[in-house]
Amino acid sequence: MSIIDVSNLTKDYGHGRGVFDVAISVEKGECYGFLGPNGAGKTTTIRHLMGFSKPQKGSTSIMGRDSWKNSAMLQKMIGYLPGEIALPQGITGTGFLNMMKRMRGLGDDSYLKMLLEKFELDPNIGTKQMSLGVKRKLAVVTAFMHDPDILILDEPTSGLDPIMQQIFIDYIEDEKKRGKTIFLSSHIFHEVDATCDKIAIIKDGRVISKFVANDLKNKSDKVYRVTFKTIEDYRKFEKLPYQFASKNPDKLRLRVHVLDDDVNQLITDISNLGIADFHEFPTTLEDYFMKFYKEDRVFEGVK
Amino acid sequence: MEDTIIQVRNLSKDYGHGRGIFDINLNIEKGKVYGYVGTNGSGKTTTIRNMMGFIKPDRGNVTIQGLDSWKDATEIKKSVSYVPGEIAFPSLATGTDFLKLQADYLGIHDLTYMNHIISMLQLDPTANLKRMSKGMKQKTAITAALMGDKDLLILDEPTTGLDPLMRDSFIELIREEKEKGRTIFMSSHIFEEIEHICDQVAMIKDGRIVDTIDLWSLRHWKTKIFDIRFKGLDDYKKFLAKFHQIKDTDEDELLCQVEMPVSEIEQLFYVLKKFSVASIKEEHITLEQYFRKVYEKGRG
Amino acid sequence: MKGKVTKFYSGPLMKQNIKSNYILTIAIVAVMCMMSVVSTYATSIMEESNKRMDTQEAQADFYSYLYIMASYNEAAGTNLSYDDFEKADDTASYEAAFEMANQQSDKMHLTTKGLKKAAAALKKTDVSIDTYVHEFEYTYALGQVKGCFTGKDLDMEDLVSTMFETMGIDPDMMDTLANMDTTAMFNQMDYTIMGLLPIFIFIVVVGNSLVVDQVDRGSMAYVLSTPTKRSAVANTQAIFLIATPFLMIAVTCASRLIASHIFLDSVNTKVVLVMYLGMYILVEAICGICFLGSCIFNQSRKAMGFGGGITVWFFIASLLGLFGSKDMVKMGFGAKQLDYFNNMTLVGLYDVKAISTVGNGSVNHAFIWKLAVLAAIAVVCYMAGAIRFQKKDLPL
Repeated sequence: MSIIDVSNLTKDYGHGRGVFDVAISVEKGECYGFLGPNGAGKTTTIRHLMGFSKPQKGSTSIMGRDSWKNSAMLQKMIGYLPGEIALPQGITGTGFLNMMKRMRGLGDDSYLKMLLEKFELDPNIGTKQMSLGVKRKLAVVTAFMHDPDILILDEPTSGLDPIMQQIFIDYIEDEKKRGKTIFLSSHIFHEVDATCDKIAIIKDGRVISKFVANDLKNKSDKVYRVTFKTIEDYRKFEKLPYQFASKNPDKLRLRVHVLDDDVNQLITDISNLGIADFHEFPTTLEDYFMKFYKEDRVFEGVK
Repeated sequence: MEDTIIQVRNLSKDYGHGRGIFDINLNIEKGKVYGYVGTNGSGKTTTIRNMMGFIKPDRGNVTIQGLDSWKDATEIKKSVSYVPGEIAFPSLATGTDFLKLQADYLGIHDLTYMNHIISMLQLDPTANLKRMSKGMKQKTAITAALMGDKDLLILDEPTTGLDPLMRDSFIELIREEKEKGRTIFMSSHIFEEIEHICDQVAMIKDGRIVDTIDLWSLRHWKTKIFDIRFKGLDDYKKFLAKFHQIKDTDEDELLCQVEMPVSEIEQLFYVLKKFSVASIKEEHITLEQYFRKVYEKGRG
Repeated sequence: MKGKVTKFYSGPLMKQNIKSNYILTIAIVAVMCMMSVVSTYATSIMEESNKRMDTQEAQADFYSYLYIMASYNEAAGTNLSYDDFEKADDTASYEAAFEMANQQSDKMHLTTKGLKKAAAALKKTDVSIDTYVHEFEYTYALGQVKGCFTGKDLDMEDLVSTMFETMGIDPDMMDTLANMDTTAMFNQMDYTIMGLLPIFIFIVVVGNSLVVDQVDRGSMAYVLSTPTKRSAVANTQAIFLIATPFLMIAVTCASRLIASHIFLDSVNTKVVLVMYLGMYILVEAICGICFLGSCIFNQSRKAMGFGGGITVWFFIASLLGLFGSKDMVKMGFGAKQLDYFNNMTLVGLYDVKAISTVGNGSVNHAFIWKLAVLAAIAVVCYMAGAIRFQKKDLPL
């Protein structure tokens, strides 16, 4: 049984907005990344998982239980970090944490204390005076104070500086090690790259790609740029039957597409020549993502 | 320096409790894109506020095209486009109203360039200013700033709230500016965008510059690091025996990491050709890793 | 699964409500109590002045009697006087005198009883009856001759009117005022306009903040990320809206009762209690509507426009309707057409006039069915709101 199951989820808000036939399965101990720009349908999907919205077609379930019908009960196992941090006004961080503690019926607050220490959060300030970073830390502590087995995160490091980002990413890694299941929606490649095992790309409400993160990192189709020492070396290599991505005779270098299976051949070929530099162009998550999107970007009409 | 547009000399502004900026020195050359990186609260915005003449330095000064940023602030503004860190619009109804107002302030009658920016960023300016999402507000602010088509751009975290696609469009816009020969000073903590467009980067931490780096040299780092995966245990062991510039190994994965100066790269392939390689990947030094190293150095 | 799910009521949420709103609540209760004390004091003063008016009426009556007696004395050669009347066993001559006067004019209805009543009223004042008689003697003397300036006949009615005018009272108005029940009108204003305004402010502000404001801003997501059912949220907020105004009105009622015991001679406790109970039911009907709006809409400004708009409309309509009420129209302050407004507001169902008859012998039970309607509205709105909140999509 998948821990999180989104099954043919459809919700049409009109004007092409919404989610259409979204299907995702997250297994225990996995960190699943849901990647897409603003308005693509990430938050809508999470709303259904949390039981805030009712699907028009399809369903979402957690631990086999429908999330619309069982939303209150499911919250016991879920730690939810919302995208927009909208804390109630006129309350201190401590007051807020106490209220949340009681609403969860949390008896043992040792884990909560540990989180406060880990994120270096002093909650004794009014929510109005908090900076974005502090607010986000407070939201994190609130979401996980009951040590839930399932984490649902909506753009968790948005607006955080690199150091805070890293602290948070480290925390996700720790949780993974403890066997927690994580669903993360984002448009920040760095955080998805660093934490997710599986990734789905969503565009205009539809999932257009699902893949295992490592497969991308270890893609067998690689691009190398070889810079030669002399023009003769360059010419010799140029004649070989490689798939060239680009050539630059002035700088004595060219780019080749090489499959892993053929890499030995490449090594042999270049070892006979004078090499000044060898550079690999990795396929980043960003590159892969942009491929889907750049295709049909529509520019707004000019006024 | 012949071509220095912005010169920051010993700039200091102390806000107490260790907050502020201390002894900042920067040289931004004409036609270059200069990145300014640091965590929240490290002093990026304070530096920019000094440049824009919003605040007066305690010590030191900022000269822009020979003019003092505090005394000649208004004069300087004639040639500067500025995107502020916090976006706060006046109480007007729609984005269009705001942009038209800006055009008036800047004395712009030809709106072609403004419309170009609007289409690049896919902004719908007819939306109500108060109901705009953060991203839309940011796009509106960028349009308002860039429509002036000035020679010098000062941008304070311009891509906050923009998703990757829009960030991409924005980077395109900056590239266009660069090609026109404009000078750009940009603060950020999103490393990808700095890496894409900046020529030089200064890193600020706790109000002080800890490092400046030329991105060209980062891209052409003097040592190369490769992850090499072998097909068989035999080859793996033999390679390790023969090649000595090994950084790291993982026998289960038949993976080893090598590091050597660029000049010795031929050596690697000469040794490698005798073995069966499953794959080669390069480990790049990213700006982020570099930043983290520099940052961590100061800690603990 | 261990741990419980909060199904019906959320203690922490209620605590939060109290924390967020206690300052506003206390401020409004303070205003309401102050107003109730002030209006009680005002009522006491009005009763005083009513007494004074009664005195003036009694005085006018008394003088009429004295005049008749004096004229009769002249005509019939009798020796009628008030002193004599008081001591006399046999009042036949007086009756004869009064009868003759009555026959002369349709407007006069003089009786010995009337004379006694008028005299009794005057005796309550600080001025002695002898002084009144003495004053009359002067007045009468003046009235024997024709108006030396106008040459007109000086008759009694004119005398009475002129006397009032010199006292600065418009004689026509005296008539109207006599027929008007000022207390009732003041009650109407007091309980409906002045009494309701502060608590209406409370309803609109708090009603919004309890549900829709949190949905609009997104902070409701935190509440619903805990094992708390939506029904618990709706119930808790509804209970807050039911209990808090009850406490507020109870405190105000108590303060009014205390003030009444201090300032007024007689306190009709039953009336006050029923008045405030009626006010509470009216308030709950409005609360229910605001709560419903808060549950239906997802945007604060829409809910505020709905609930706040309706509340403001009711308030204005009841204000306009006040000027269409019979009493105001008679006084010349209002216009009959404005009475329509009384039908356009729920406040009209809070029948203050009918309630004020409680404890007075003949009770006008009309107010009971009207309050029942208000209560029904409250119940329906609360329930509909709660159900809607549970079933709808939340844009969190």
